[in-house]
Amino acid sequence: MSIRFQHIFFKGENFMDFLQNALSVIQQSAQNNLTKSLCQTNKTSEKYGLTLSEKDIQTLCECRNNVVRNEKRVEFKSSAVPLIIEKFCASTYITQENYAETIEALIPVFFAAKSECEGKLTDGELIDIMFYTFEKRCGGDIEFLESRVVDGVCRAVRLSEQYDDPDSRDYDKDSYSDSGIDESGETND
Amino acid sequence: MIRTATAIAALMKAGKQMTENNLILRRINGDVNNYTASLMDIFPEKFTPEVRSRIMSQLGALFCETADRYVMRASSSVSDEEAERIMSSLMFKSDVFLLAMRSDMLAAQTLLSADFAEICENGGKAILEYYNELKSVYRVLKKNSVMLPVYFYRHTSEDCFREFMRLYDAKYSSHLIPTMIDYPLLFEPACQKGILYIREYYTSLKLENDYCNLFEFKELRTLFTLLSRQYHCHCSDLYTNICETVLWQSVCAVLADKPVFTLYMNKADADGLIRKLAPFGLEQYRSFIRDAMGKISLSISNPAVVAYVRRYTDTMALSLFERVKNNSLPIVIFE
Repeated sequence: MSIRFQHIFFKGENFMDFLQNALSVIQQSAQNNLTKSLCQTNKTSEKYGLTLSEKDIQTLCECRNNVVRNEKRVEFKSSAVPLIIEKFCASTYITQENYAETIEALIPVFFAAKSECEGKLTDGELIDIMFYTFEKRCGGDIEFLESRVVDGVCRAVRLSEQYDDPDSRDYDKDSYSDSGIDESGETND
Repeated sequence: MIRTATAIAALMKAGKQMTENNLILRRINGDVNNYTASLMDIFPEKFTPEVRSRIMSQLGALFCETADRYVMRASSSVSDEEAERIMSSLMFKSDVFLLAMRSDMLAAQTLLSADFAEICENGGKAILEYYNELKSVYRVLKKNSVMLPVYFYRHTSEDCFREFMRLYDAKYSSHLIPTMIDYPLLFEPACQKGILYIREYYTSLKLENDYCNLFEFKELRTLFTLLSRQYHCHCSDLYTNICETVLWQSVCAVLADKPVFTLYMNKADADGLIRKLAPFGLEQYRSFIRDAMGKISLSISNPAVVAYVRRYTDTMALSLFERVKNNSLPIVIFE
């Protein structure tokens, strides 16, 4: 996380270190909860013939930690990773062989898009868009998904800003629907 | 143990009374811009690692709850900029509440015994009270505004205030000042954050206006027209503190044995004053200025105005001492 903070809470500690320390207790508990939550997703995914091993779960936890740090984000409650799993285990492109690695690849896509959308989409909405795009537009290709979702989200955010600005409501409906969201803000699946 | 609501209300009332006489924050030893944290450095024996850890854990939990409300419980993460903003806002709320106690010891005791969430909640309430109180400060400010066409002064007194009131976010960005204030005061507010800055700024501006309004508007207008000629600019482009100019002019007039409440000084008055002051040392300058301000103060009904301008004595004495040595008084010659 970038060190840009001038406030000193304790001598020798910068504000972000302090924030990290203050959150560490919560983060530790969130980490334990994430492990449990990921185990619990197996109950849902088993219906689709998919399970995560303990090693997979550990890898996903590490992946989430690295991505959150790299994307300069702070998770303050139960992670979005279990939500991603519960949505994507229904995918027609995911099998037991590529299950863990696909989820691992989806985590950075989710957080990158989350940063791009500047809080304008909820976790659930973003995961819905990702799933729709993955299934209907990318044929299960993660790299394609990454560019489509991040671009789509950027476009949707720009359009929503234009929509907020009464002087610039000249958006192109086709490109809007191409992002996987219809005009009411609902996903198209 | 946790303070009762009555005790907290009493503390807040005491804090509220500081409005004009406060300019206050000077009485506090902690860093007013980061008060909560600085208390821990002032009293290291009270804030043991265990206590700090408890406060940190409470703050962490409060941050999570606040961030969750910020995203309307629809996201699990925020960007680090947002996290910084939310955390700084919480720390500012705590600062506001603890500063209102006007005592480092009392503030430290409260931080030790009360739940951090409760401190922030009370800080939030204090901010709202200050916000409402600012409206009445503004009403007075509008009435006692000096009607000089100085752009920075007018823009700050009117537009900046309205912009602040419209854009201030007391919930998640309480430490920020969403307007650009560019008119210099006689004294820069001690706290540079959020509503505390604005409150002290506009309260001080009101006192400065009160002082300036002691003088005839015609003389004020002439003073600033001549000053703008001196700087070869239009009066509206002057980037100077009105009160400071008036204070210098009025004190020098009294020192030059002119009647109290005149701003009129000609070349002969200025030369005479330089000759009169030249033989004396810095300490006597202080004494002369105190006496001159005393004469002016006799006709000022608001003691807060007197206290405010008297704070300028030392700065003025030092500057006057240097200026007399250089044979150049910082006053406007009415000729």
